[in-house]
Amino acid sequence: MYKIIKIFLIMFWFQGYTVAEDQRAIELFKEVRCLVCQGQTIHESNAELAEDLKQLIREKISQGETDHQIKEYLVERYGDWILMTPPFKSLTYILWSLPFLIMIIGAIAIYRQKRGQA
Amino acid sequence: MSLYIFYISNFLLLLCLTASLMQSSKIINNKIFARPGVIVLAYVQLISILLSFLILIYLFLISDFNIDLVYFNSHSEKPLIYKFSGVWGNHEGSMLLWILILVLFNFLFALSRRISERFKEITVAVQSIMIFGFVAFLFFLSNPFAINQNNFFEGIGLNPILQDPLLAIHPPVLYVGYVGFSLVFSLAIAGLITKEVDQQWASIVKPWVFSAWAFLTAGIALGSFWAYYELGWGGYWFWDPVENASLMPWIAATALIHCVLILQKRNVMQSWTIILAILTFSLSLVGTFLVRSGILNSVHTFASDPGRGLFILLFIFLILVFSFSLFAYNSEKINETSSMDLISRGTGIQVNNWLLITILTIVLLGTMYPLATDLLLNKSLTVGPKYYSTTIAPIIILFLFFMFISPRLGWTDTKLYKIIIQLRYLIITSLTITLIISLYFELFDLTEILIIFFSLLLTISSMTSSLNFNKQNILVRTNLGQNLAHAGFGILMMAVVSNAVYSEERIYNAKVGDNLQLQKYIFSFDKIEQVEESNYNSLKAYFLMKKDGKLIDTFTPEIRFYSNPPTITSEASILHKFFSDIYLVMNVPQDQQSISVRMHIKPFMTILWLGAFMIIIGGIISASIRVGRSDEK
Repeated sequence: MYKIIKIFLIMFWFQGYTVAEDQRAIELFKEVRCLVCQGQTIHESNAELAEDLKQLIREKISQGETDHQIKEYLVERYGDWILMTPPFKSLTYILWSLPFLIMIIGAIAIYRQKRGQA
Repeated sequence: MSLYIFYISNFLLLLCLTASLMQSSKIINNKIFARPGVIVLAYVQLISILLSFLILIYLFLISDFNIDLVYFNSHSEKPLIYKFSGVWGNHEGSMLLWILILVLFNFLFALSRRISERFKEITVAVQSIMIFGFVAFLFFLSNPFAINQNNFFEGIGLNPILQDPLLAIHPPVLYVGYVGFSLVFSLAIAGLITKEVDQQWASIVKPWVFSAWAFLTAGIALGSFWAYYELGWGGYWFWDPVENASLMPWIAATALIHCVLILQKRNVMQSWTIILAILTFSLSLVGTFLVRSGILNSVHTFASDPGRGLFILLFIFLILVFSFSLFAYNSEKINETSSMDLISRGTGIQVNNWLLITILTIVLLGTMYPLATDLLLNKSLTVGPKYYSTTIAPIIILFLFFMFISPRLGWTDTKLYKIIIQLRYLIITSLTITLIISLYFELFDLTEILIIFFSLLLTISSMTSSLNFNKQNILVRTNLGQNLAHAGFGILMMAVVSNAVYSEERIYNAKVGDNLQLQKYIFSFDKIEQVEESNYNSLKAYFLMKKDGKLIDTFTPEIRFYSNPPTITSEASILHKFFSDIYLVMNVPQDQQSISVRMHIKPFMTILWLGAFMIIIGGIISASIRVGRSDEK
């Protein structure tokens, strides 16, 4: 029983768990788009420019910057385009929220239709 | 010689145009065009297009470079099979193939029996309007038989990435899917015109919509399989705009087949079914043609001529305007009944219909959003795979739950707790397996655990309900198609999630003699060779895979250098095992000393393809069963 509780706790705290710097770097590489390749991340690419970016990110990690700071730096330098996943900001409000609006509208519509018949 | 062919084939196209025009005129009940009859005209349409398609194949096989299309897309030294598949490896040829399938569906429907003469006439007329539009487009804007007087000795060649046996069959299979929905669309329009959208209508539509859906599924799966081993990126789905373009009609069609089923059994949701039929075909058109317009950049983009893109956009626009105004005008007169109890199978299907529409919205948004911000605001965005996985995953959990529970509910009000008690062993079993899996593999992400749990529940539930014995121990006839497809979907989802979690990769710079490690395997770089083939040269690396010192397999990743046209491709070397694939791919060498090699362990790939295969077979079984079983309890 104690073990199960422990696992549940780990499950919810997993986000805060610190990973080794290497692993952090790889996770970041997968989030950064290669500027010269077609739709690949810098993790998948071995183009010269991608290697430079990887080096830059490794340095920033060892200087103690957070993932968030590194991403902000990259966006400032290259634009939103460089991140594989668009951040939630005014430009992407519709992109992130419309699916959930659609889902809620549907749920309400189906429920009201059923209640109307009863 | 070429000149004769030019005249004959263009005459054939004009013949088809005339027949289609006469066929279309039957949409108005008139006496002038009462003869020749529907079947005679359907024969003319089919034979004229079939002959011109055969002529085009012949021209490619004999490499007649006086034909522009052959000159630009073929090469005399290409292997025979690729001369053949090169016919549809380009814009004009693939258009002709598209039209051939359009005409074939028209013909098969014209021959079908037990359908009222008037309804058949209208359906064939609507289908023929589309045939007319596309043949006119082919004839005037992208004529495959255009000739030149240059007497070239050699052609330019086919894009080598398309020179692959799978890609010879991927386009025709996908097209049968896309075009199959044209007939469903025509049936929907005919239903609107005759105001007969009822159970009878659903029974007529069912085999067509199921077979189109099965083909589309197969087409997408083939494309995905091709991308997996040919592109060498180690993945099977990239959320690339072109893949999304084929996924969108698939999602709409999945919703549609379920609506056709409820309509057939319960005579409800008439309007929604019609809307979905129109939507599915419109998305199929977008799928095939927007991809070609040059807006999206990929191997699928054959020709980017603004005139052609404009024609297609105009055509899609006209179809939408026409069908929705007809719908708005006539939908009042369609007998709409929608009585369904809150906790019933119908509601479950309705909810999942809506979840599918939500997923469709996500795919549409993700594909179009970067284009829109770029065009309207001049701001570039990247919408990568993570957008899709984070937004779709929670929906999939709900979707799997309703997929599991709905077939267990009756058509009328059912007590939910009774069902759950009835299924207690099933739920406990799935829960136990999920717990074991998550503890053993240290899986602690709640979303992933839930997807695995509900997929398991769905798979086991579907499998056990197809093995339904009655009291005399005789296997009761069950809905095999549905159960197979649903179990396949559960298996597919489990494989997708576990694959995403447990994939591993390593990138090495390797010299001959190096030993590289990936999990418990050692790869010895044995040698590198140059190989000359008829249409390319290649650089082949040999890796010996060993486990505990014993040789298990030899991997030979390759880089191919094609000269006609000059292209470099990378061929992955894959070992398929039941529980995981091992995947080696080599990149173009950076220097003379070493090569860069990427190694992947991809768990559950075989199971993933198995899931997709079960879905396809399920679709084919459902298409071939004529009358749905009434499973009232």
